[in-house]
Amino acid sequence: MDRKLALERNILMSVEKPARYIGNEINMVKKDLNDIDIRFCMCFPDVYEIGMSHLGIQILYDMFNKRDDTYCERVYSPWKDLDEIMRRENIPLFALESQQPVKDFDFLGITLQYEMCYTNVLQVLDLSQIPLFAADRGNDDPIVIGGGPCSYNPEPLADFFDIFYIGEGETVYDELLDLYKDMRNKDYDRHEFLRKAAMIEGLYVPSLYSVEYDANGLISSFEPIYEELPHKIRKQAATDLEEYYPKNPLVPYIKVTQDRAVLEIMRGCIRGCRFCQAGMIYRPLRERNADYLKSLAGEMIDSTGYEEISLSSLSSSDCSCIKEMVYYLIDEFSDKKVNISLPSLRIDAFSLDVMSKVQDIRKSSLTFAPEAGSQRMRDVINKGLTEEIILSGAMDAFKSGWNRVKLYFMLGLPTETYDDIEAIAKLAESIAEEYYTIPKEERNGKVNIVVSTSLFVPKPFTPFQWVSMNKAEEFTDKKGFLMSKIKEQLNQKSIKYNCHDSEVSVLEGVFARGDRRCAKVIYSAYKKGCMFDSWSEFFDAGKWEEAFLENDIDPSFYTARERSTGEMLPWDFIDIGVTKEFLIREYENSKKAVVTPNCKEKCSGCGASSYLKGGCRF
Amino acid sequence: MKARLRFVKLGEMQYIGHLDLMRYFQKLFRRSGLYMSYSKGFNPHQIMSFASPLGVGLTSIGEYLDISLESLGEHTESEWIDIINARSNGLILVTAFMIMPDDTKPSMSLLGAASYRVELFSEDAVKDVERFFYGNESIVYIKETKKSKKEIDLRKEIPILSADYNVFSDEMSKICIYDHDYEKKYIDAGEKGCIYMLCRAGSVLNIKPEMLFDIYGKITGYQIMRLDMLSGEDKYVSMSVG
Ligand code: SF4
Repeated sequence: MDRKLALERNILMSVEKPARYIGNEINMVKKDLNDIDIRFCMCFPDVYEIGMSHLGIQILYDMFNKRDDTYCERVYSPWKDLDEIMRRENIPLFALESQQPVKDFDFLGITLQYEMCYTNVLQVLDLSQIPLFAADRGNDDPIVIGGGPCSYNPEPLADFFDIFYIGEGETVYDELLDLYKDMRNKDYDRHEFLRKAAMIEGLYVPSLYSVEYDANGLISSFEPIYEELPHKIRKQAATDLEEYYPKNPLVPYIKVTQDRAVLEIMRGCIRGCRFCQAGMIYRPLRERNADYLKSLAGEMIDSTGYEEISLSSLSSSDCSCIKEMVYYLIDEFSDKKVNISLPSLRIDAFSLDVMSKVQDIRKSSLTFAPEAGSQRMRDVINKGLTEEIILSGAMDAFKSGWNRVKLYFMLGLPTETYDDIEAIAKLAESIAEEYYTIPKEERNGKVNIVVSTSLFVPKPFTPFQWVSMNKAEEFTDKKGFLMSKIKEQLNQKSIKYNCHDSEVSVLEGVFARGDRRCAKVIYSAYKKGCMFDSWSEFFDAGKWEEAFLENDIDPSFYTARERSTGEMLPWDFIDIGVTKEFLIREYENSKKAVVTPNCKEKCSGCGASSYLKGGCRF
Repeated sequence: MKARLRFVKLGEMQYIGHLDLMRYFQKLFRRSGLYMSYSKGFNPHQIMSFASPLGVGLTSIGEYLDISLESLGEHTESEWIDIINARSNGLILVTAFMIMPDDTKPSMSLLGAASYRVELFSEDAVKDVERFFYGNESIVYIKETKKSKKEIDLRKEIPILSADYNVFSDEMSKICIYDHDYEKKYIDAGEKGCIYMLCRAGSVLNIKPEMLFDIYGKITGYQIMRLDMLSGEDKYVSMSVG
């Protein structure tokens, strides 16, 4: 194996965790570059340990490398220490497999999992020595493609990308690569290629669309610049989920966030929580077959040697094969000393039974995500969890020996009042009181309740895409209020409170519903040194504030402003299957606190069934 | 059943730290289907221990790992070596698989010395280091821990040092029993710009080649390879010699 590392030994020895940059992990794909027509570099714009934990990249890595003419490699954000060295010494960013510069690749695909990685996208482009703005790139620069959940509103990043792939990668990438291979052979012209690529369903080429604004700064028109181009970009959803799956996933040397084999048991969610973007964009629900999953589980454990396997999905309790799968894994793997890491399951007899089998009850905790404290608020967000269910679930668990409870809530939900917030404290108290109704001799020490609140950020393609988001000061007030209410409870000593940072959430809110004008702000903030914004030790609210001021952009235009349902939204050109009429209907229902049944109870005609031959069937 | 493995850690594997290496072996043994013994409890783990952790930045052809096995199953020791290496990455490779008597002490507790090759990439530097080492009757290294300060005389704690591999191996033969042929597979005896040394080692006092270069100063960017680990006090026996 003749593979020279891109970084000299003295550099590797001077940075934290040099293993982040050497590649050659178990199951890394090796190909001879002489046999390759297309070089695709897949990027997760965050540190290696985060990026390596992402299942989506592993699925695409497997898919691309199944093509004989394509070599898919990986790159992650160099950590700050290496970032500084690479800038100082002018070392181009390289892919882990071949250790060769990313700028020499044909494609650079960047997955956009959260808004706070946007400055890291610029970091990756910059270190790769690829022009930051798509308009400045030439025939020899890689085609930069964005994908992942944030590409459902790609507009804040429109200036930096050549193409956005809207939806799940399994469907039209082949078509794109075939087109490229075909055109690259002749007198290749980047612009011509992009123009053709824009004709492929699901691909959005931002430079080929122009946006106009009215006097109030609202979008007045969004049009393709060539006649032949589609006005709407149709989200891609895979219908065959058994074609690509990494049977030999990469096994990192260093400990990463998700240090286990992951089985994605289904895609989509039947619940329809109104704040949840994933619940809408991944519709319709598609389940994998249990037999397929079982054989995958065995192959993955054999090929990786992982000592842990986990099941993943948005709402595993709703998966029709969940019991079968969990009991299968326990039977099959407990002798082989493979731990089963359970997905978040609804607390009921089944989940308590399996939890007691695979976890140490004294060390593990019960997790509930009521998301809101009061029943009214839960009805507004369509979270079908009642206080009764929570209390009886908790009681069953307490009787079986658990004494730790984690509760997840959101602050700043639409129509929220201070009573709704106080209800969070009261719910935690009720759970504690429930615990102390158990006779002392039967209790397992003190109860331990952790309340966590995240801050609600309205997202595109949800029934809340029009609502006003709270300002940082409001969030801070609400957090303080909740803290004081928790302190008033009888069992306050048993209740711990954790909360999110307000400024980061507000920034997330800007980019979640931002438009093309936000690109300037991201660029300025990056130039000021912002990077790794999702890491609290690096997030610099002051620099972001300056970036907004300098570009004369008011963040509250994007966050606090309530939109009318008639307004043209930056992401309206994307068709996710779920119709705007449905979202408006759900928005109206939320105002009346009317609950909508889940897909298994009753179809609400959201529109997503158009992806399935024969529609949604349960 | 106890077994001791000798393994090499080459090239870029020098950047993998000790704990990560341990996790690497756990997964490697699982992939290989080795019948490892596990500890009891809710999170059972494979029973294994290393003779001595190797620092990041060092390569080695003489690492030792003690493991506990339920049985060898359907394969012989040498078959297991092939099975394991086929599932490794080409840079971490098992070179010996020895079944040990049940009352064998952990190699960690037996460790008495370790041999090293240090590449200095300069013949002049090598001569200077040799002169420095033999030109001083004592070379005192001060080892500071939170609790104590200890003076170590490197002249005494490094029984052998030479820039000439043949001289080194002659000296080694006088006080050590070890697998010379094995070493020759990895070492080019004629290679210039290297220093070879035998350092006393153990859980109380562990002499590292870096200590000498710390005192000497002037040299940076050297590459250390551990050659072997040995048991004993004044006469040593390689851990690969049972
Ligand atoms: S079409 Fe009906 S069943 Fe299908 S996802 Fe939409 S609401 Fe659910």
